[in-house]
Amino acid sequence: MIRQALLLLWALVLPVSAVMAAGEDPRVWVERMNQALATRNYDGVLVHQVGDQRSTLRLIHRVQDGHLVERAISVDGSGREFIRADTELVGYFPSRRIVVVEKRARSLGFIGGLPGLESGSLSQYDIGEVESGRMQGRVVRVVAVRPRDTLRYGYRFWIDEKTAMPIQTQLFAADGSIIEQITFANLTLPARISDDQLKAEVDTEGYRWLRREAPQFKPGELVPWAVQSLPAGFRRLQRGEGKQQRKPASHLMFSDGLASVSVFIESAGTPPALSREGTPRKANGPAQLGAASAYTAHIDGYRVTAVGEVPPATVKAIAEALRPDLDGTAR
Amino acid sequence: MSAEERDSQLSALLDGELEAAQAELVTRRLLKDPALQATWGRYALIGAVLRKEPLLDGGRGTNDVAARVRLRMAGEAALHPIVPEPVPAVAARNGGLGRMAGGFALAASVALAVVGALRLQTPFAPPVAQVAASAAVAPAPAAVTQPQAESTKVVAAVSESPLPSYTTPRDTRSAVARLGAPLVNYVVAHSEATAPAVRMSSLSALMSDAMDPAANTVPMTVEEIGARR
Repeated sequence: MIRQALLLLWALVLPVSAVMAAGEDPRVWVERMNQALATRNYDGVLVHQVGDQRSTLRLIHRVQDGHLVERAISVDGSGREFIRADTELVGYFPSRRIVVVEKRARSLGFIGGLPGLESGSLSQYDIGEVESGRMQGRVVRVVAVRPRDTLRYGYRFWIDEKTAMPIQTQLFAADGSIIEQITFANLTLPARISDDQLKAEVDTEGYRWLRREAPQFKPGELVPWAVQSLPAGFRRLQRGEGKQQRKPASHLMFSDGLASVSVFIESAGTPPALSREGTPRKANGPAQLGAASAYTAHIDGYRVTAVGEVPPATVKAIAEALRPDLDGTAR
Repeated sequence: MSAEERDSQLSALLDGELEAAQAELVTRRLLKDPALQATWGRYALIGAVLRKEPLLDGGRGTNDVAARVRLRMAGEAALHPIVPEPVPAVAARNGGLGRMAGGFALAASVALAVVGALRLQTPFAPPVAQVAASAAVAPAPAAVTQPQAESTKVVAAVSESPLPSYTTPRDTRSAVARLGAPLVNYVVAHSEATAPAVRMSSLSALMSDAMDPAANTVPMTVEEIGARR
């Protein structure tokens, strides 16, 4: 028993060591990781931590003939399962005895890579040298993309040398504190994942099957929007409606090349456009959901909400930088 | 299979040392077996305590357990101090385990104390399989960001690793309650539209109780349901 405990403790306190891997290009490793996430089948138990909130789930991910199917199974005892097949998401909620089916705009896995690093035009980040180390018995390459200021987060990946899969991913603040961490406790990359492995194990006998409808949206009068002053490095990506299938609100997007912020605009005179519960909400202020920060401002009769995986100050600055541009001179 | 063998497999799973097929079997067993989940959680908590990581307790007392264990650890360490003496990396790989056995024997006794304490605390403990499992596999960020000689770090991890600086800008659940379900929708819509590097925010929303899953839904028709069964 003691020997087992010793071995266990050895494993627990020896998570990783790292040394510089001279001459390797971090962009190449991130691109390999992006490719692996986009093309490989994988099956693993992962731990997700944001602040002091931790959750464990099993994720089975299959890409076959260009189609993505992903099954997420909660390991918290709730029995919740989610199966995503291309743009359809089906959620099983045993405690409520319901199954909810909804459409999503795009076919995306729950774990993403880091697109944009290859552009080479990231003035707001420092890309560190590749380090070599070990994590959970695997040889890994550690790539860190550090922010140069406090207006954005950095990214750190522990990439398996053999498979290019991210064994661990961190989102971290400029002061080094960890905002979000995703770690695979166990990861396999099966050549083939059967259909049966991607079916929910929930017995739905007696369950209610529900379809989530597109949110009711009463946008009021949509107007062009001008941006007065954006946080350093951010620029507007697109403007206006029609970019999203669901069109939940007037939707603007901003990016610094890696981090993205969405801004949703509703008329403040109409009921909350996206409410699924009809619950009232606070008019202004900051909020946090997972690693995502949000800030809602009332501007000239509009409710402007900025959301993104960036520090709270950044979404606030972007939300407050917007003004209706009624004479049509929006930039 | 004996309980000892099951525990051994679980620790191997935690260490990522099982072959793919075996890992699949153990993972399936883990997902189905509450007792095994509890063991997983206990192992994880041991690791978290040793790394002095903050533990999610939901106000139910696990941190008290951890604090008491740390106190006991500190007390025993005073009697049997662990000297963070640098050890050549080669020595650590080739027999370094024996050299560190003294420190780990202490740690093992602490580990057993944690397990015992958790058993005593069961009525107050959170679902450790969910909460603490992460600690087992989440390496201390400080150790990761400051790479150093392997053997030195092992000793330091036991004796003097700093608290990891997980940022908690504000309580997630209360923040969700403050803005309500629309925020969840916004986060999901943002994730779908911009494909951020880390899309777990939307999954967190789904897995948590941040929103009512039945809100804004309509019953499906018998035909629609039948096609899916």
